Amino acid sequence: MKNTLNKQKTTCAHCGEDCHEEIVAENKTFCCEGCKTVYSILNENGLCDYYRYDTDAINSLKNIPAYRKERFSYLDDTDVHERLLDFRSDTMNRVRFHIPHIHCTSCLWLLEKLNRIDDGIIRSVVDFTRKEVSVEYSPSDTSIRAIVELLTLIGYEPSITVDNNIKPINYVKRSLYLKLGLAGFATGNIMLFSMPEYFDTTSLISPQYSLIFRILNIALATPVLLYSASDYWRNAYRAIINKSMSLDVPLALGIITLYLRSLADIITNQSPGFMDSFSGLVFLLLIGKLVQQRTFDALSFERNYTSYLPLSVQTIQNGTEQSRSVTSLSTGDIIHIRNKEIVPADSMLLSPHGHVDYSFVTGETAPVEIVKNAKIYAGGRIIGNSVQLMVQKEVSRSYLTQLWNNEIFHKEKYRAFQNISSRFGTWFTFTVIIIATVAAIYRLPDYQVASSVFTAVLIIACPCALTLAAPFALNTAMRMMSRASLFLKNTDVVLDMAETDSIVFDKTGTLTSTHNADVKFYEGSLNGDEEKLICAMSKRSSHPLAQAIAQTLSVKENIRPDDFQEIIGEGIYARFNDIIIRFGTYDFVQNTSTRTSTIQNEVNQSIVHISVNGEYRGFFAIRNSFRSGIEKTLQFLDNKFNIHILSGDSPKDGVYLQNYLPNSPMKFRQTPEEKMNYIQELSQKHNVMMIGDGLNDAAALKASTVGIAVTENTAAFTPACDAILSANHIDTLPVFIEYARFTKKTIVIAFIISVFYNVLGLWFAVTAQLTPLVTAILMPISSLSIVAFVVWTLTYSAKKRGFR
Amino acid sequence: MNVIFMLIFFSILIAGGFLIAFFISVKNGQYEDLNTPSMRVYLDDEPHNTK
Repeated sequence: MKNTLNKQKTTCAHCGEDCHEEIVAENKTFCCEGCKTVYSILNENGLCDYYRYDTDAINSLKNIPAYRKERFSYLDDTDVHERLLDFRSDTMNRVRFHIPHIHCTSCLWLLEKLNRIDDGIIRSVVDFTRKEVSVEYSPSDTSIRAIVELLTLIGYEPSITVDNNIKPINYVKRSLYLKLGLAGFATGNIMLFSMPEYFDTTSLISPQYSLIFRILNIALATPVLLYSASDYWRNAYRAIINKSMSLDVPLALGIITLYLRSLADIITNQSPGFMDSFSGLVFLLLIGKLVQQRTFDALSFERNYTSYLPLSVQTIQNGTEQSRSVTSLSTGDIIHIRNKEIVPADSMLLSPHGHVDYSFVTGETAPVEIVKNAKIYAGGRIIGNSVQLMVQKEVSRSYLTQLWNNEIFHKEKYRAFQNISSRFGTWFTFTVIIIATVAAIYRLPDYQVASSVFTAVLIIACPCALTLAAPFALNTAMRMMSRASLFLKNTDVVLDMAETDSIVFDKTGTLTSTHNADVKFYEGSLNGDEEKLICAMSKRSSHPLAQAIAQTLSVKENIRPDDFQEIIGEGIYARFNDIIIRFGTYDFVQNTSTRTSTIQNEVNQSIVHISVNGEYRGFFAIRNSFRSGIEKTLQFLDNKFNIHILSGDSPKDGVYLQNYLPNSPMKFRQTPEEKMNYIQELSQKHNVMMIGDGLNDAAALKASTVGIAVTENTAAFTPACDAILSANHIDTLPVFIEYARFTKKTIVIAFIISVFYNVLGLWFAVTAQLTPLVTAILMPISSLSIVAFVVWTLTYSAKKRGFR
Repeated sequence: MNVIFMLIFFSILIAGGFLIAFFISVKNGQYEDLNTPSMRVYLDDEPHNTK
């Protein structure tokens, strides 16, 4: 064999030593090699950290090959430091890394003990959900490069990309918690101080106490008005300036009236005031706000191409390798890309051949084989042998990155909810003001009663229940959908989904499944023993075709070959006692008989030839198959929505789809730009839901009303989108849309109920019966009952729909 | 009855103490990563110093 031959000698991902055959043999089915598997066994037994913190292993790791060290030389660059550092000072710098490998408690354990390995590290803190580690170090003792090398050494290589992969922190704002805490504190205390007033005042407490209670109430309520409710003043002010009445306006009006009226009542000694209702109202509203801000921290909905591209790349200049920042690459540079690294710019292949996995770009996982002088697009991931490429276009001008220059990425999406809320808000505000005025005029000769009626109407009409209904309903819907593996970017998306009338599918990847690929054997035959052996050897290869074959044959038995070689780009050779099996390309299989293949190699089909002991046996044809249940889903959706198919592929599979979707427009061989234009045109008249997967759909996803990214694994890369759907739940899509519509209906019903409460309250208000006691009872009851109603209805109906 | 004044004073003082404690915890970022601390509980302080 040539020198490309890779003897299957696995280097342990954690200890760096060559693993013994046993470990490899027994655990080949795991994604990561070597002791990753041992580790997972230990993990099951809770012994994970014991293995992990073995100092011998770490010492042996210090001898990493020089080229690996060179990989990080770009981290000595001060420009890069600027990009990576969260915080810097003379004595302490802080840097955050995204580490995709973090997956269990012992990762946490080890990563938070970094300061024991490197004295320069002051502290390291892991955020498990985001898979991030934040390292504080002293710049005089260690450097970013040393830290990255250390992390790589212990098996946690950070992914450092152009945008550093670190999402801006979108934690719930601290100030919201502070406002909520203050409002809660005030509410609790004011309620206690108000309680005696609601009973017979004279017999229970003397007037002097009553005065003290009232003063305390004012003292507690004023910070609530000034701090906790400050967002409402700001929003209402902005709404009035923009002449778009959202519900915030009557809300702010209600809050301020409640406060001022209470203040006036207390000062003039008319009544104990409504301070308890006032602070309780603000408290409830803030809870609604908190609920509305729910997001899924573990997922990223904002990724663009910079999250995929590595920060640096190895370039070859005058025969020596140098690491350079990708943004400085220019046409004609020669770059060296290794196994599993991403091509940063459109380039031409200089090596004889290579394999590229375009799954980030197209969503298709099967690698493509390319030969010398072929063009490789940015975003492709090199599989197997490392290759040398010549850059043809700068990073910013590459085919894929150009997409992001489109204006579509700089526009805010239209949101259905804001529209509904503002239309309703305008109507509501004017109605309330008219009622209040009319009721006051009716009482007019008596100024005191008139003003008290006027304020009472504004207070009671405060759309508190109304404002709470939507956030709680949307939050519940979002939570329920996430149980069935649809993760929404934010609560607004629920309503956008409810408005959908057209669905556009990107065929590749979205409708087809790479997991249950259709594998068929042609030509000759294989006996049971041979199948077992072929399965055993294909399990050892990480090549997707071999994986597909292994999955189809699915032999449980684990037979260890006496000899095993994988020649990347050619095939696999294995010897079991005296049986020699080869599979892979036709040339690799080396049969002596002439080829009798009758089936042409089709676009969507990959062929793996097999020979046993030098005798040609036939070939496996591997075709992507449609995801299970997709036909039924498509037919169902076809009755209710306009379905469109936009695919980058050849029209071959269109024939198959046509049977299910006879009336749907289908477009094939679409470029990302064409997809985006198509969606843009369609969204002029329709609310479009776009379902796509790869980066090439990113523009289309953005242009649609709701862009859903379908992914096999929610932890994997997904392009910027509004929602992430787990691929094996794609057949539930009609249920999701229907549930979103149900959510909208529930909100409307909740609105009607709350209007009913308002009318009831108005009756008290216009008849001048609105005492503090009535308010203190009516307000929380109306709000809480509405919240209970929406949450219960949506939880129950989600269970009925099988979201769990 | 004057004892009520004192009780009110203390109740506000104590409740205010809790409010301040809450503010400090928020400012420390304790409400941000709600997941990782729950896992740290399982980690022993020094599992390997037993020789």
